[in-house]
Amino acid sequence: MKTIKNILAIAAASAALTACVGDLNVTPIDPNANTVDKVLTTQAALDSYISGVYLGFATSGYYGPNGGASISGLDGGASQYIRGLYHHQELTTDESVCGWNDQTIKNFHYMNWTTDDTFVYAFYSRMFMQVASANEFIREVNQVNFDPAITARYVDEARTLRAIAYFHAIDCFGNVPFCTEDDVVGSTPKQISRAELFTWLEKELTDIISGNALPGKANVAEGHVSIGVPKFVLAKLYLNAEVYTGTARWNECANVLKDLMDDGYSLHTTSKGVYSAYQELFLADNDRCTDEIIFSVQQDGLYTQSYGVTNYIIFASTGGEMDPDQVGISSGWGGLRTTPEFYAKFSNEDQRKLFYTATQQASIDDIGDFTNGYAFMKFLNRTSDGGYGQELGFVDTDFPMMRYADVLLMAAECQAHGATIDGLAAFNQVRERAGLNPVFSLTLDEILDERGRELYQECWRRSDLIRFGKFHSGYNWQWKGETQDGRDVEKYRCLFPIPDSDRLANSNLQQNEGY
Amino acid sequence: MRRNTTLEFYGDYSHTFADKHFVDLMAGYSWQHFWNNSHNLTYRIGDGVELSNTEGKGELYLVSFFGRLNYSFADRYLITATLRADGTSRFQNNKWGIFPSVALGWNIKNEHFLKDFDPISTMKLRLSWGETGQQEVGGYYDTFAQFLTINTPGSYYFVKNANFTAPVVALGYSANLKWETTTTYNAGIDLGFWNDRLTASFDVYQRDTRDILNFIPVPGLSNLTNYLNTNIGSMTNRGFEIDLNAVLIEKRDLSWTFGVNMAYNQNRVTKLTASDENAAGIEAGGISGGTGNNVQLIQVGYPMRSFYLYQQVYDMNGKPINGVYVDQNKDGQITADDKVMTHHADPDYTFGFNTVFNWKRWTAALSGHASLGNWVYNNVASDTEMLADLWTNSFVSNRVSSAKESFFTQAQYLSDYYLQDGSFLKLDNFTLGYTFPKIYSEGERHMSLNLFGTVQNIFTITRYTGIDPEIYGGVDGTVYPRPRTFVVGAKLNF
Repeated sequence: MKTIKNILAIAAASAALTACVGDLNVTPIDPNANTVDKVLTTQAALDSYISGVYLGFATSGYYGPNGGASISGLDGGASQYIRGLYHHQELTTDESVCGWNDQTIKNFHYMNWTTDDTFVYAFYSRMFMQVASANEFIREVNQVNFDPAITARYVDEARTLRAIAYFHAIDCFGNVPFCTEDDVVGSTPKQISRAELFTWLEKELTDIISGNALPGKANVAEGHVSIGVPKFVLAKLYLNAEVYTGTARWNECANVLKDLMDDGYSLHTTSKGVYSAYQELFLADNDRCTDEIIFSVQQDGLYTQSYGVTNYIIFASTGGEMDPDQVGISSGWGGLRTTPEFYAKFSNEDQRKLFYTATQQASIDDIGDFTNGYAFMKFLNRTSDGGYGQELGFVDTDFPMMRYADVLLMAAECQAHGATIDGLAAFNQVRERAGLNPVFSLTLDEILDERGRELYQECWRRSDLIRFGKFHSGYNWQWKGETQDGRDVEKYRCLFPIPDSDRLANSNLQQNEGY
Repeated sequence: MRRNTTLEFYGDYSHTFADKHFVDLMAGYSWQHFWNNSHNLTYRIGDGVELSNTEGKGELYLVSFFGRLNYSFADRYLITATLRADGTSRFQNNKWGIFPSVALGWNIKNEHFLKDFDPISTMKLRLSWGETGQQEVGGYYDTFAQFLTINTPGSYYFVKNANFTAPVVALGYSANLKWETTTTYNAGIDLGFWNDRLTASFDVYQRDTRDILNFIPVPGLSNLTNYLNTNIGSMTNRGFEIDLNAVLIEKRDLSWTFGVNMAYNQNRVTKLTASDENAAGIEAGGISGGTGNNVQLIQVGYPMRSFYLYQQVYDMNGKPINGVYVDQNKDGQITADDKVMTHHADPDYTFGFNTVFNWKRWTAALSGHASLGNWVYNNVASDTEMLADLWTNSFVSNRVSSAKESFFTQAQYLSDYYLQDGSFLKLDNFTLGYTFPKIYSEGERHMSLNLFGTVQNIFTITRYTGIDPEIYGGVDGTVYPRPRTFVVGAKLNF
């Protein structure tokens, strides 16, 4: 009897087996997490997907400012992409110090960062996640069967966003891991030399420009990449060619700039009267300044929030006795100020001299004391008509990553290096908007200073100082080299180290020279 | 909301042939389904602005086929063989794991030559070999290339565009995840003397684990995130265990029992397969303070949770010098190459003891345990000692009192100054009780009362300066001490 029962049980079991084993073949049932075949079903889905690639520049993660960061092991806010860019491009220079005790944050300004610096690793991780995310986009979208003209535009948007991240990589780290859409997810990247990456970027950007799949200035949807963006990045690449490869490319740079100067951009010169036209570029409604801003990373007080990007720049620049109301925020984090050496570059009539000085002192005697060093009032969460951003806790101000004023200043630099371009007129346009008198000839020192006055806090300073030979030596500022008067540091500091963590994970990576 | 469903069928057959051959056969399978759904909405008090809106849903299926054969001959020779095939939906490209085992037993006591030898009451020899699998890692869909549609305002993009749609982002994944498999070899003997007044067991083992599952940093650019669950390599555990229990006194109104055990374990990473075989190791042991600082390294030839730190330099007075480390490779600078593998978090030896003493209606019990060779990274001290933080932006902040010892101005997270020997001896529990056998009677039924007092966590002897050296994983971020508990109680038994 018992045996019969057992046999029956086994028979019943067998009947159910096939179905049960089949259950193991699952597909995700999460309503928000899908496999690619369910995501890229319509052409409209490309809009969603490409905005996810842009998002890598704009937030720390996918679940709001406090939600899980899209990278692990690092504080979400402190590891945000543009915040990392600011650490590397601004804190290392005369433009900015940060007074916090957040681990090794002061080491950027002291120029004694080490190969295990977690802020360096954070930015490095962000940058390459951005590249990986663009690679994945290109790979997937190349496989769908939508209108080829449409997909080509989206693919070129992603290629341009990837080129921006690789541009930051060549500039900050030089010899870096390299993958394109042809490398499958999970494969270990090989290292590419700085010169090889230059060659690849030059070809990639030239291809995107000649492919002409991206819209021009007049037709581009707000915030998206237009054909001006790859041109701008290519101009930056040529501008720094001597640093990256040893061979200057001023003529090629001038040619790209001339092309870009015919694309319909102009300086933003009309102000609503509350703030100067210049400052309107850095206000909560600066998305209206499409005349001058070629590309920006968007922020929105309600819908695109982060503890990085302009939110970091604005909150961290506010402290001491400053009135947060004037800045358009609830209260500051008290961290960022400028050095006296940088402040001294501004004449009083310069409309770009946007600093809070009243209860501050110029000299930074104590880097941890917010009142030491004049504070920035350039980026604000106020609107051009004197109003406020939507929120006092998160700013609306977009981060203008590429501006036409920079195009004009690059033109001046090319001319000063002998290229054929009317750089002097361009240079004086920038000066005129700032309320300054024109100059009649160009000197390199004056161009570097003008770049500082025009572009401070916009994350170009370190590259500029290196290109002009004023970064590790030849020019010093307070607390460079961890001494109050500043001192020269080692030449190898012109590149950041490949982080130890990644060299442990990937034995293909050689350390940069000197580290 | 969660829903778990389990379905299990099995058939069992047992029979004894010719009074000597006992056979037991079992076969079956089980089916399990785990399903969950969560939805979190956060609104701001006052204006009702939606701050976050996250929804998650997932399911996991586990299917197993299993069989077992038991055979014993004359209660002296025993053999057990098992075979399992386990399938999981978690590893879409490697769903199945096959796990066999064989165990042999020899009940020596039942042999003729021992049967009537009274001083030995138990003697049994055991030998076994078997494989087990582990698939509990990460989420349910880690092997899928997934695209997340963002549904948290705050992480939207292009919100001002007329045709706004929520962004979609590609998530990181490990397509090739597979079962972690452990092969165990064990040999043991159980002994009992004088009617089991004294029992002892002794075991030696080796456990080889391959395809260890761990959450590790992956090479930059190789995936869509920087940390992933991955099969990282192999390790071996070798050791022995001794267990002794004795009834020292057993009289009418007096009894006293005593038990001790001791275990030794040695762990070594034998192979690393994750991402790159030439890599020096895999970072582990994340700490708080510093974003992304790790204090351990998984490296071939070393125990799994080995610390990887700079060797602190001390001045003539024995005080650590801020930021000065031993230049191990003598290249004139301190780089990551100067970090050294030093000590490990898991103990070499562990000990335990307990004793119970009964006298008439009194009971006293005492127990404790000890550990040798476990090292602890004092993360509480390393994250709060730096004096530079004493005065920040016009605020004074608290420092731990041990800051007076180190006098570090800056955080020195990767200094072995913070690595300490966590060996300890703990007296865990002492109980004293008294029983009133009949405080109330009703016919044959009695009500008894037991009054007792217990002290838990009586004392710890250790050289470790943090709060408690017993820290799994070896990174101590504990701010709250384990309480010493005094319990006075009364128990009524009906």
